[in-house]
Amino acid sequence: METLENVTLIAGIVILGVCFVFSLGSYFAKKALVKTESSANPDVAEKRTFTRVGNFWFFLAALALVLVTVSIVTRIVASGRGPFSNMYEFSVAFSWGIIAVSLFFLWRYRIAIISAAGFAIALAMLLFAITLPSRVLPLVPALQQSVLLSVHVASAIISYGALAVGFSAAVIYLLVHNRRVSWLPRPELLETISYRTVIVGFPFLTLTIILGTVWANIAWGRPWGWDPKETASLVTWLIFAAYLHARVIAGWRGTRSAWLLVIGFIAILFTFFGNYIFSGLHSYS
Amino acid sequence: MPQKKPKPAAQMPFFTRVWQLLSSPRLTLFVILVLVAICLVGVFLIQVPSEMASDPSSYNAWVEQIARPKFGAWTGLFSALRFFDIFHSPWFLAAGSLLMLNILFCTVKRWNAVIGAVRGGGIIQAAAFYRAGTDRVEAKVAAPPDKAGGSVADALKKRRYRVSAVSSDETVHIVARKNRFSPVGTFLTHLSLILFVLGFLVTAFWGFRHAAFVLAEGAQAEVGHDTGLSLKLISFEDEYYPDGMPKDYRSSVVLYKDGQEVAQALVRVNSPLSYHGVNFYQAGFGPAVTMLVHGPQDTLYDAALPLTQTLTSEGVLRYAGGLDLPEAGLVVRVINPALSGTDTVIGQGQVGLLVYRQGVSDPVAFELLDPGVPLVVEGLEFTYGGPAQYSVFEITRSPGLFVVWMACGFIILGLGLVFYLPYRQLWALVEPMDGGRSRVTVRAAGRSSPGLSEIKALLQQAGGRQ
Repeated sequence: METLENVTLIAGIVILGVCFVFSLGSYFAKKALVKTESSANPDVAEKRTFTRVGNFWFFLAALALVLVTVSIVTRIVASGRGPFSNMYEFSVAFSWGIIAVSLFFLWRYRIAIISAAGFAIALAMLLFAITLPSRVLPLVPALQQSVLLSVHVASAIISYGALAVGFSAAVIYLLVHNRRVSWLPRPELLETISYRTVIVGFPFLTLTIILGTVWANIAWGRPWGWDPKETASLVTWLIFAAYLHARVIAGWRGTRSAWLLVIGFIAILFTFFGNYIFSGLHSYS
Repeated sequence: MPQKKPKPAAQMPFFTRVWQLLSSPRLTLFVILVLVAICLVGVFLIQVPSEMASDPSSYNAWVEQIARPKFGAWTGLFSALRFFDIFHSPWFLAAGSLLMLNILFCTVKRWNAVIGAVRGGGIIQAAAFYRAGTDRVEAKVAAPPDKAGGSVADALKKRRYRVSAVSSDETVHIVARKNRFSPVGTFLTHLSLILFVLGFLVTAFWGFRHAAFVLAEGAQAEVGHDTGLSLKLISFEDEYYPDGMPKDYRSSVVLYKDGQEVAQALVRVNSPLSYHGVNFYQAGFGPAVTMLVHGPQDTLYDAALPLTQTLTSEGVLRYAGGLDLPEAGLVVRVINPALSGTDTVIGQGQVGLLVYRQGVSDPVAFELLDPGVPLVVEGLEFTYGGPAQYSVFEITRSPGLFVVWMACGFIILGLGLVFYLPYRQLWALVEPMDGGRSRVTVRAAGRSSPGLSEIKALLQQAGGRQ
């Protein structure tokens, strides 16, 4: 079982790597394509390139997702619980979330570059994961609540995955917003897509925090106690709430709100890696 | 419609200025960012435990022992700025109150728009209304207005719009709406934030929290706070995995109400005991010793004594517990090595006994007790019965909790409504043109109008040309 878990994970990493290199290649191909058809609308060119090379690419990314899924499921079967109790398990699950949401946005919007950036983040996360001790450890008493453990962390993964994709879109937006890069999607489209990721990510982030309060009330006797990880997750929530409010203020939509998404993702990483930075009740790794 | 020029701020009446400030989204953004800064202080600087925060002397002791070694010269400034108790500081209180005010003012400001959305706008709109829309669609359809209007209405109905149509002078007016309760979601999410605060206030005023309710095995104590409850610890067990990681902590308890047994339970980390709103959580444990103390006439103490203090001297860690014997005018400290066998003073299986006269700081005797062997000190007979354990419970009553859960429900419901069932409102004007054709103008409510792209495709299907 452990062999299957490791082999599928490594295979997933390799394929994701190939997928990323391939996507970069396809972008250079597209750059050439757009240059030859100078009148081409970038969005149309985007979709056309996608249909030319995208199916293969999409297949590769989907295969990577399947492999990582198999690795996670193997671990669930071996340990008899959700794979959410130490940094190794969190990191693999986080990567899974990013790949899944990237694929969803790829399927939905056919904007390859955003998903490619998502895959790059997921790849970095998986490479980080394989440096961590991966032994299945028994659960300390506070974590012995399998339903809430699974739902709380699963919700966090969807949210973090979506917001990682939003971060990718925001970064590309910040790179292209004041100059016309013919082979990259329009800034308005990037803005719309990053907003869509927040529409997915923000409610799930809220749900994660609420499930956390429900659990904290059972295990620790209070719904909220300003534990560093709790507070860090609130910081993340506040930044994305700020983003949602900033978008309706004149002058904030665009560059400034994109910066808020970047800061929000930094807050997510900070919350995620917080176990290494601050002590507190969430220090399980 | 010509835009009114906004008056310069200085000319506006005071209340208008306050109103504009408090209901502005810029204030929202500002307050949120201030709260982010406050929370970051709370994450990066260690926070004083809440039970110590309210008592100045224990707060100062905490600052000197815990904070000063970490922050050195900054400690005084941080402490003066209330950074070590940031979530009870004036900063947090002010920012939180401002956010609540801002939410209330924004709610009032948006009230009419939301109610208007729920009720729906008028069907017949002037031509200027259609021209004013920033995002609109115009198309010419090769059918008379009633037919063209009918197909527009049918298509909108298919897309789950609620459609009302009126004809006058061959012109068809249509209003179509979808998810009209969605704007209520905005109210729900913001109401929930106010409810969170209310819930915590209700708990703070009418609830209680006993952070460390210590009971040794066999002991029983009143819960207090007018509950009439008392808790007895039958036994405590801690269990470990082979690698030394903790596996389970469980306290077997009996709960009494006015002397009557009302519950028996095994309290564990994820399974508290709840009785009529009072909750008992497993919060900690530690060593205890069973002690028997006989006076000249009667038994003065016969129970397990929790050793809740830790002492370190010459690198040896020991646990200690205080035993008050007012009848004999004595205070006794019972001391036990943390790791048996490593202590050079107190032998394996023994406990140390430090006996003080009340009000005198130097001990009058130090004795070692072997299990089961009585020893007379200062006219009292002490017997050490053997090791035991104590368990620590956190006891809470949180009457505001249901408000908090209600708020949780509202915020999820509200976000779902706002994000996944977005409000859509479209108006369509179908005017006759010569040759049995008609002109269709469609306008959406608000600035952004995702519904409009649907209708655009639709009109193209209907054979129109833009």
